[in-house]
Amino acid sequence: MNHRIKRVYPIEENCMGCRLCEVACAIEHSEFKDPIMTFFNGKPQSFTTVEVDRNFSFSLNCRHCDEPYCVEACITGAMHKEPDGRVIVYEDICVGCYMCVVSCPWGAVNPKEGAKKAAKCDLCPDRELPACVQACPNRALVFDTTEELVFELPEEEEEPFVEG
Amino acid sequence: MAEYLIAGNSVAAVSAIQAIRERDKEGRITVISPEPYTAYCRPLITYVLAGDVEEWRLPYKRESFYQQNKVEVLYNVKLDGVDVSERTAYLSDGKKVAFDKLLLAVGGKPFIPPIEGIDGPDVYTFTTIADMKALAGRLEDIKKVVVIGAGMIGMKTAEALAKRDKEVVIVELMDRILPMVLDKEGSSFAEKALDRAGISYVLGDSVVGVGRDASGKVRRVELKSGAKIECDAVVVAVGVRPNTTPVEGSGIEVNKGIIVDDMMETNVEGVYAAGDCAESYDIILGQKRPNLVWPIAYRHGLIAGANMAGGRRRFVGGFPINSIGFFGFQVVSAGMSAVGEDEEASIEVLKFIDESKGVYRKVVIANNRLLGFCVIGDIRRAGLYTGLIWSRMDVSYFKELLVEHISLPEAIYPIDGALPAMNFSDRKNIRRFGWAVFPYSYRKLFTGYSARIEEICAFDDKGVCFYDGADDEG
Repeated sequence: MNHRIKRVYPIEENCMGCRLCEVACAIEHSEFKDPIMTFFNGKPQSFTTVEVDRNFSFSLNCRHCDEPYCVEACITGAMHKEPDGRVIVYEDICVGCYMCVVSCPWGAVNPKEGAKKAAKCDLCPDRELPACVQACPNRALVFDTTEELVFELPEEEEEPFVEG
Repeated sequence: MAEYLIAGNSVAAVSAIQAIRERDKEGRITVISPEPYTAYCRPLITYVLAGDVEEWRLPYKRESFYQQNKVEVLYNVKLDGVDVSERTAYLSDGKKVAFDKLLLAVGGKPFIPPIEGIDGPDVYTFTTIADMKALAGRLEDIKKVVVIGAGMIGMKTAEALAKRDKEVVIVELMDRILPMVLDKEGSSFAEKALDRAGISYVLGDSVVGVGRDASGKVRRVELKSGAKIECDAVVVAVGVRPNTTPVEGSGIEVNKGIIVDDMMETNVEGVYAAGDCAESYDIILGQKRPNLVWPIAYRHGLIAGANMAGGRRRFVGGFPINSIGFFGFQVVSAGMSAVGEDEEASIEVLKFIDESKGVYRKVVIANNRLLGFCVIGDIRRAGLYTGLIWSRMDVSYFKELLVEHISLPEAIYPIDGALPAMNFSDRKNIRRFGWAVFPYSYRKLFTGYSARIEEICAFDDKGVCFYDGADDEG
């Protein structure tokens, strides 16, 4: 249905495991939108998680699935798929039963810090580019519609052979 | 123009309506609703009784949903019977309705055990708004309540009644709280939470009689052990069974529930079943059985609705997923989670227990596949286990990490601050086991697709995943 929705895709080969995306996400989704205030006064929570294993890492966040497991499991209808393809949770309706947390096979839905609500990636509706993608220094996160992404460097053009 | 008839008006009906309307914008959809409400959230009624949630938040879908999808709803009407040769449904108000495609989403009915004196006033079940209102209306007269059954409904009802300052005693036949989810060890965490809240409970005993006074009011219950508990009301919550009464004698095959194939169709062409009343494939047991949980009902409805409207979708199977919290105790589980260590030789049980923090994790592994898990306390990222059950991949070479407290990054960089450390609260627990330990090809599944794991993966005869969606092995 929504095969062409834009998602945040991680590119493992580019990820250095610096976790700037986590910081950016936590700041963007705090009430302060300021790094100092977020980490000293707020309840920082990042919806993306960087997985690190030795020299390998990538950033993991919500897939905004076509048929989301979390939406199926939501007993109140708080978790739902918007017409534009984003999967978001209405916090006013959420009762914190955590059925979505246990259903998400990617582990991308989690309890909200300091509240009995679910929290997940909302693809930063206030921004043109999600905060995590913008913060990534090494283009290890891309915001695109492509289903199967291959990150390729532009091929060098062959120099024409000139006789003479 | 196709005539769709949907018997039942809860989550399976709602997802079926959505699936039908995705394919067929014209056909007439009629919904038979046994209750005078739009589809609402049944688990939420205990929240309403407790006063945590206002009543206006109960509806799952509102009137506008039915209008937008051009659905006619007959309220206060039940399905009485089906004539499959005439393709007619008989309703409880005496009317007959013809159909081309019928969806049986009639749900479950609370099981009431044969106990002496259980018929009569002051004995309640707790599955519908009507049940909730009946009990809520009598709250002023009630001081002490006996809840029979320490399952999901029983525990949530007990919590709600305790929040309304009632004295509650829970009586459970099995030797543990939440017997379908917890083993004895996990149950001790729940028992501690009950002790803290001052709720009394009796385990390993059953109610054999309900004592009434001359006016018929409940005064006490008698237990098998001989003990008597004084009370003013009894809540029966020993379980819910598939409701198969409407199809009795119609020729539709019934076992414990209505038997369906993987297209959610019964043995009669054009008659489908979905939700709590249907008996569908369980990928953990490898056989058909009723799975009375919300997410499976949704999935059933979605598949049935698509097939009713001429699509071809398969239900690949499901397994129970549960999450429940009461008195500050939170547990999530999926699949086979209550099985003990010594019950079967082929089953391996791994546990992590931290009593001081109230953290408990348990995974059940057989044939190198994850068959179930149970997490108490810190439930962050518990869904990753569910993903492993869906994919049925070989977990043998990282199974210790599944329950271990620290994960690979912390084992490699043991000093805090070696990784870019931040002030995120309790960072250690959140990355207890991560995607990093998963095979490369499985991770490709995450980065490349947006479809369902279980529909992409392919499985061998034993149900072990041999294709996890990625063409390149890393």
